[in-house]
Amino acid sequence: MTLDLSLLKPEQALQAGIAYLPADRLGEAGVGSLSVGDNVALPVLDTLKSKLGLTESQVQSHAAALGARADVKPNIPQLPLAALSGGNAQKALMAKWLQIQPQVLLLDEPTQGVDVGARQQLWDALDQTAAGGTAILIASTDYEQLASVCHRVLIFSQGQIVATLTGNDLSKDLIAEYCYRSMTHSA
Amino acid sequence: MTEQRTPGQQETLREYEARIAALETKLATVESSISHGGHAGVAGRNWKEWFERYGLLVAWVVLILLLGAARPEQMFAWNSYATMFGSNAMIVVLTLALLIPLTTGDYDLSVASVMGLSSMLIAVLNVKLGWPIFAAIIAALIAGGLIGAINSLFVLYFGIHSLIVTLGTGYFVNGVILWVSNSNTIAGISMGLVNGVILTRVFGIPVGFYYALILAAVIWYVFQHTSLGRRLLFVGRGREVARLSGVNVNRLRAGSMIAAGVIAAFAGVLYTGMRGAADPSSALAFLLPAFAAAFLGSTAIYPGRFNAPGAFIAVFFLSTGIMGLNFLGVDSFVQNLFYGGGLVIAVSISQLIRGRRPMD
Repeated sequence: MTLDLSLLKPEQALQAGIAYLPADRLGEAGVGSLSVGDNVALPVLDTLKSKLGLTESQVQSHAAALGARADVKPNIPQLPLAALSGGNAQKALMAKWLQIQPQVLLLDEPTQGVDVGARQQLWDALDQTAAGGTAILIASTDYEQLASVCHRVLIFSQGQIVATLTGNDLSKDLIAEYCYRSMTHSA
Repeated sequence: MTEQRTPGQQETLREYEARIAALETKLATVESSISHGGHAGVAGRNWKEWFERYGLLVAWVVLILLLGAARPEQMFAWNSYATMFGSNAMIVVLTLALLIPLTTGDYDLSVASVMGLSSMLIAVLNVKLGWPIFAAIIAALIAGGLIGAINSLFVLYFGIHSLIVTLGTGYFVNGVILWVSNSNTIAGISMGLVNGVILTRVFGIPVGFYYALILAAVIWYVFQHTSLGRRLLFVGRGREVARLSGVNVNRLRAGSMIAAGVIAAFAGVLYTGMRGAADPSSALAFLLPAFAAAFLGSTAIYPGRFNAPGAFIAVFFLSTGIMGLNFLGVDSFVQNLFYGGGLVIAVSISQLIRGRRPMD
């Protein structure tokens, strides 16, 4: 299947199995004033419906089950998303996309503003997802982590790829080196 | 794991882990008690939540008792309420029309003009051109949908703020009304419509009221119990979030503006049936009451969301106040004071309760 990326709308991308988790957690990824449950259930609303339609308790219990798996604390889906800490909001929003089992998952700065413990849990969840056959693309400035979680790291400078690191070349020292080198070029 | 320290004192790793474990158990109890339906929050918070939801109903009862103390023979008569319920049906419908674009984050200032246009179209087609009343009603509803579509074209395609677009189209429609009616009141509408709106009564209340009630129930169901309703809410609260989650934001916004047009036209149908006539300007006076009721209603039942049951109660809360003041013999300008003041005070009170969070 070939998709024209310049014309692709989020709706069509999702139908093709591509999910995107933006970096702006309460601006683009989720709505802070709505409950965690509403936020998490948004992509699967149609499957939650029963004969009499969608009920609040269906949405909340679905979100509670997902939250328990993702270890969201506190796992109370009725809370507004803005009430969760950065790390827990991110766990919930990650669960929002992992539940549809996308073929490609795009992440922008997934661990920005996330505490150390939650950060590890997020990486573990991504490891499992990748093992399940999902291709994961991460844009991140956290190069130490990239070296340990990625199969391949591309280093960009001013929109150009300046280095591609795989296999034995993939270490945080080399990533750092290429980053600094690209900076001196652009300066 | 490395040893953790709290400022000022040293804590052994074991103490730290015990403390965390205790906190985890506490959290688990809170979570489980909430998931089992009970509210674990302090009783005070629970009570406050209840008051937020039903405060408007309580205020309505208090208002009836206060006014009833002064004019018991009129305020405690079922007939007064039956008449009031019937004669405010079109305000309920107009408020429901507003709710839909308000939920998706758009303002529609043209609804009252659409209501007036619908009313006048029915009169012109039925009385002047001799169309059957049914066909005239269908034409009026289509005209309402068309104006909604024009609004959405300018808002979505040209990217203009809905407040500006609908202010303009509303004024334009006012001109159309004067044009098609030659600025005259047209009377003599088919009795079929009058019978179907006001003369037929159930439990003493004109049937027009029940149409409004059914419409409110339908909108409540769509907002509260369908995936469409949730998507509409996300479109209003976070357009980018909705778009990136695969919601067709433009289609839903256009749909809600068209729905507002059709429902506002339906308010015009009720208004015409109520009076058996149409005049070029009186419908415009319902814009503020509809906004006041929509915002007042958003402080009740589902606080913080525009919602149909809240709007329904808000319309009758406001009209009870006006009815009572009329019984007290207060001049008619008090309507303006009541609706205008009601809008601002209602929103202010709800802001205080909600801790001055910005309204969204």
